[in-house]
Amino acid sequence: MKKVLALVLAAALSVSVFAGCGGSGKSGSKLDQIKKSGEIVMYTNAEFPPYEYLGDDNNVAGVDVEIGQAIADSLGVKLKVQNTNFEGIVAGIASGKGDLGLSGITITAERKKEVDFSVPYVESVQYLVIPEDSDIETMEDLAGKTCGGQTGTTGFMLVDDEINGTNGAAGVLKGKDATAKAYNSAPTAMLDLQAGRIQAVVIDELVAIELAKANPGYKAIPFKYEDGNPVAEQFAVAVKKGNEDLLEAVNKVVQDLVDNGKIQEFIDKHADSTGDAE
Amino acid sequence: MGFIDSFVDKFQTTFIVNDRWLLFLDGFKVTIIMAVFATLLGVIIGTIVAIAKVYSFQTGKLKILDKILSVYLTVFRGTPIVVQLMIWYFIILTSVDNGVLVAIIAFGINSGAYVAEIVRAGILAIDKGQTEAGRSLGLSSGQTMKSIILPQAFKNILPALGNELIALLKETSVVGYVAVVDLTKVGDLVRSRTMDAVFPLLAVALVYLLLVIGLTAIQKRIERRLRQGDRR
Repeated sequence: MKKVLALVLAAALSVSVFAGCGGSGKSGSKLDQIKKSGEIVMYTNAEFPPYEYLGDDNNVAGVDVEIGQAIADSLGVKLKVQNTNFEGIVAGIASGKGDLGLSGITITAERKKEVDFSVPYVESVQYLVIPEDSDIETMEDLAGKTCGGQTGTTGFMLVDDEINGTNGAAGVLKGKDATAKAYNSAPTAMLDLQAGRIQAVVIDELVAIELAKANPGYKAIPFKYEDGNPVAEQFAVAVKKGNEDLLEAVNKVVQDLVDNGKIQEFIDKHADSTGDAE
Repeated sequence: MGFIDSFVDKFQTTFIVNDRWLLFLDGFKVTIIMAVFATLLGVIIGTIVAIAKVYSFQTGKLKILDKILSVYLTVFRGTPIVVQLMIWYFIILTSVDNGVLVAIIAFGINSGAYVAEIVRAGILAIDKGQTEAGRSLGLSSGQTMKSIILPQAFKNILPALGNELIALLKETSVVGYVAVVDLTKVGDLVRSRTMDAVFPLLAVALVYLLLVIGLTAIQKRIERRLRQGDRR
């Protein structure tokens, strides 16, 4: 019994020790550190075309990589792309392991507590993939239905929030017998839609259109609320909290890219290249 | 922010905000249900398969059944459990809506293949004289297996069986692939919300560890009781 107790205590202790690691921060300008090391580290999850995906040469490519490259160029340093799990990106930036979080990351109140966000570079409208004869059109129509989505993606969280009334959502689906089902990827949710276990898949616009294109009998529609407002999100670059000079430098580059239409060019370019790969 | 503040804050966002501890509790229940029923299914399948294989080996009968069972062992031990699970869920049992049920079937049948070999080893390790003694006392071969061979075999294979059960409990952590929200998946979901990887991961790991410690204690207790007759 004593041994068991000792093990439990040891485990509990290690939890507290590790938990402490994330919290401690280094002082000194991040921007200076980046310039000195000659390298800026970008965290991304290359499973979200056209924003990030494994290109033909098996290196991470996509809109976000182009943005990261533009930021690196403006600072005169090399860009290092770190491919990781989506769930680990913001934590990686918050802990200072990565400098830029660029992975189609949506600005949310909860993420804002962990990291600072640049000005948004894309507004992404959420889409629903549904059978062609489906009568689902709005968020409110999901009452009594099951909607699938990818864990950690905004579309899934927005539906989940409306069901639970959490994170500032109005809770239009609260108590309406709606379910949000979490999948590891959008294509697996699509499989379950075809199996008939769920009635809709919520995902970002471009992915939704690709899914509907690849699966005859299904269509992708813009996801709206009953009042006509889109279920939407804004993508921005995540940087570690309290690095004003780095954030300023990033903001300047991102704003330029938006203003001169470069972001749209990147999206068109990479939407084409992912289309060819199919 | 001090160490204690940061700890308390992360604990709160992981467990207290939006009543997330309820999610963890639900996930824990799903994990337990899957582990218990898959284990039962696995032990039942494994024991039947092992007896059939031993019977076929010793008597030379049921050759075709033996071949079929060998294929079963090869296929289910030869492919990853995650792949099997997805095949069950997305291809074979598409009409079953209950993901937990599909998971129990997938894990149970997979575990049965491993348990079969464990039980078979246990039966073969019992001296042939035991069977002969049973038969000469007038017991049928079925009665001999049930009352003489299996009880002794079970005692010997208990540690190996315990191993398999522990492995099974942890293997269930892949059910997130078929949209079942178990303990591990709850950790993922909370992690994707709070963006804090440390606390949910370590909390989930700790729960599994405690479960395994509990299982091991139960196994030891059973083993001690069964070994009482061995002391001379």
